[in-house]
Amino acid sequence: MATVELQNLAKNFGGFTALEDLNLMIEDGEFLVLLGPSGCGKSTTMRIIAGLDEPTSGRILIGGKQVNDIPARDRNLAMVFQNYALYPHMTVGENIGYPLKIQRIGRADRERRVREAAAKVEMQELLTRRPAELSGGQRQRVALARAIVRTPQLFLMDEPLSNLDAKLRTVMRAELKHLQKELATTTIYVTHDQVEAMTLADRIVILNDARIQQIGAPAEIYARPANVFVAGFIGSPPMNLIAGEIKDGIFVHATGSLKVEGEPDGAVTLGIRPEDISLVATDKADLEGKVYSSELLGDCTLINAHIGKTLIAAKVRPEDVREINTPVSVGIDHSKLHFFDASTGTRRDNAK
Amino acid sequence: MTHKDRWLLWLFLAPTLLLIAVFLYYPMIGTVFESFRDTSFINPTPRFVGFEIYEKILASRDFHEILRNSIIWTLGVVILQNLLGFAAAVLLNQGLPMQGVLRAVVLMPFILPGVVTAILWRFMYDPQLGLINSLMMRFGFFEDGAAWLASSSTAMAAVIFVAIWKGFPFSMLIYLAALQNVDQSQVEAATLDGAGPVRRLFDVTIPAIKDVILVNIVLTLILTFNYFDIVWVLTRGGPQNATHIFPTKIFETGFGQFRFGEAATYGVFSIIVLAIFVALYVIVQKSASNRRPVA
Ligand SMILES: Nc1ncnc2c1ncn2[C@@H]1O[C@H](COP(=O)(O)OP(=O)(O)O)[C@@H](O)[C@H]1O
Ligand SMILES: [Mg+2]
Repeated sequence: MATVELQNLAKNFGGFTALEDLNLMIEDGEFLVLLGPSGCGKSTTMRIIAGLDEPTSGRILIGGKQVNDIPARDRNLAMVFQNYALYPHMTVGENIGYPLKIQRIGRADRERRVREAAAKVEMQELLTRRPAELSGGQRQRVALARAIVRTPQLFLMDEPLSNLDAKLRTVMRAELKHLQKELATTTIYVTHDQVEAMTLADRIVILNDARIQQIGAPAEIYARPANVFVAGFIGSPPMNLIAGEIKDGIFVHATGSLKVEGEPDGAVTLGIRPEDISLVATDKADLEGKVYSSELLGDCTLINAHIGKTLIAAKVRPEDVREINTPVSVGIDHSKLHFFDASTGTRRDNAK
Repeated sequence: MTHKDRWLLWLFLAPTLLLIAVFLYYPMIGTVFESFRDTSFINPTPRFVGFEIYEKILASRDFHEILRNSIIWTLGVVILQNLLGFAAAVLLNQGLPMQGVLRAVVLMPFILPGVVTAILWRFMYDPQLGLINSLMMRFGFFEDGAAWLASSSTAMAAVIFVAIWKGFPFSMLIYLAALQNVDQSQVEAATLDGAGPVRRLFDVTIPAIKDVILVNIVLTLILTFNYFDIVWVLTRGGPQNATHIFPTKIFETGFGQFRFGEAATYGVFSIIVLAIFVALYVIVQKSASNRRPVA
C-alpha cells in the first residue's frame, strides 16, 4: 500500500506531446480513475507509473520515494491489462502463481496463496484450465487474481472491463469495487467509460489533450464541472451547452433570452443538465423548440429538441412523450445553471 | 462440409496431387526399384539382384563413415545454426539503432549462391593465401598455415562452419518474424510480475514461439541432411571420406563412378532418414499440443 505522486510529468513521442505537466497526488488506499477520451494519454500515464515507459521529464514518487530510476519489475506493483495478457501455455493456477514463482516462494505456500487468490475471484474450481478454455469474464478474473496474489503496493488497471459484454461489465464492476475496498490497496484505474468512472472512483481525474481537466470526487465533478470539456463529457446524455451573452442579468442566445439575475456581463456558454429540464406550459417556457426525437427509456423519457440550431437533450417524466416535429416548451431549473467563460471554457464561479 | 464441397475440394487438389505423384513419388519409387538392380558401366543390361547391394553397402566401411559424418554434420549445423539464428534474432529484436542496416548486413550470406559461398571460403581457408590463416598467424596461434580443408581432423568443422555462416540468417529471419509477433503485453505482464530478461525469454517468449522453433528445427534438419553444393565444392567429400555425407556420396557414386544401383541404394537410405525426420516432427507437434503441465 502506498501513495503515488506525479510531479510535472511530461511525455513526448518524437514531436508529439502525449502528456503535459501532469501533477497528481494519490492517497493511500484510494481508488483513482483516469478518465478521458481515447488517445488523451491515460495509458501513457499508467505505463509511466508502472515503469514500462519513461517520462520525458518529471518525477514519479511511490510511497514518498522517487522511482524514476527503479526498473518496472522492482516497483512491486501489479497491472491488469485490457487484453488480460495471460500466459497462454500456463494453466490458470500457474498464471496466478507466476509472480510468486518469480519470488521463489515455496511450492506449498505458493499453492495455498494461489487458492486464496482464486477463491477471492471465484475461480478455485478452474485452476487446471488453460486461458483458451475460459470465457472473457473468467479470463478477467484470472488476471485479477494474478494481480492480487502477491499483495503489491499498487494496482494498475488499464481498461480491464472494456472487452466484456455490457451485463458482465456491470457485474465485474461491482466485484472490482468490493475487492478493492476489501484489500484497501491503492488503485489506479484507466477507462474511457464515464459510467465506470462514476461508479468505481473515490476520485476521478479527467484527462484531455495531454492535460488534466479536473480532479475530484464523482459527485463533485458531476455537480461542478470545471470547464466545458468536462461538462460535455460527464453524464449520459451529457450537459447541454448553449452559447450566448449575458447583459444586465439577461442571458441572450440565438433564439431567445433567459433571466439570470446576479451573473456578471460577458460572453458565456450556458450549461444545463438534461435532468434539470422539464416540459412546461407555453406561458411558462424558458426556451421554445421543436422535437427532434422522443425516446421512452422506462423510468423517464429522453427528448431531443432543436432550440434554434442547438440540439438539447431533456430527461423528462415518462408520460411526457412528444410527437416528432411538434413545438415544445421547455422549462429550466434556474438554480441548476452552469456558466462557462466563452473564450477560455472554464467555469465562471471557479475563481470564487 | 457438404458432400458437394468435399467433391470440389478434391477437384482443386487434384492438379497438385498429380504433380506431386509424377515428379516426387514416381522418381522416389524409381529409386527404390533401381536399388534392387545392378546397373553399372561393366554390365549395362540391368540385372535384378534383390537386397544384394544393400548387404554390400551395409557391410562396407564407407557406409558407416558416411552415416557417422551425416549425423555429426546434421546435428552440428542444425544445433549451432538455430542457436546462433535465435540469438541474433533476439538481439535484432531489441530495437538497436540502425536495425535495418544490421539486418541487411546479416542477411548477405543467405543471399549468396551456395557455389559462390563455397568458392569464397576455399580462398578463405587456403593454407597460404587465406584470410583465416593470415589472421591466425598474425595473432600468434600458429607458426605456419593449417590446411583446414585438407586435414581429416579439421575438414568437417570447417565445412560445418561455412554452412552455418550461410544458413543462420535464414533461421534468424524466421525467428525474428516470430519474435515480432509475440504479444508484448504478456512480456510486460511478466516484467511487472518481477521476471528479468532471461526468465521472460524462457517463460513467455520461447513458449509463445515454440511451434516456430520446432518447425524451424525440422526444416533445417531436412535442408541440412540434403545439403550438397557447399560440401561438394569445398571438399568433394574428402579428405578420404572425412566430409562425405549422403548427398555427396550419391552424386559421386552415381555420376562419378556410374554405379547407379549403389547410388540408388544410398538414396533409399536418405529417404528413410528423411521419413524418420518427418515422422518425428508429426509426433513432436502432436505431443506439444497435448502436453499439459500441472500447477
Ligand atoms: N509508442 C508511441 N509512439 C508514438 N505515439 C504514441 C505511443 N504511445 C502512445 N502514443 C500516442 O500518445 C497518445 C496517448 O496515447 P495513450 O496514452 O495510449 O492514450 P489513451 O488515453 O487512449 O490510453 C495517443 O495519441 C497515441 O497515439
Ligand atoms: Mg489506452
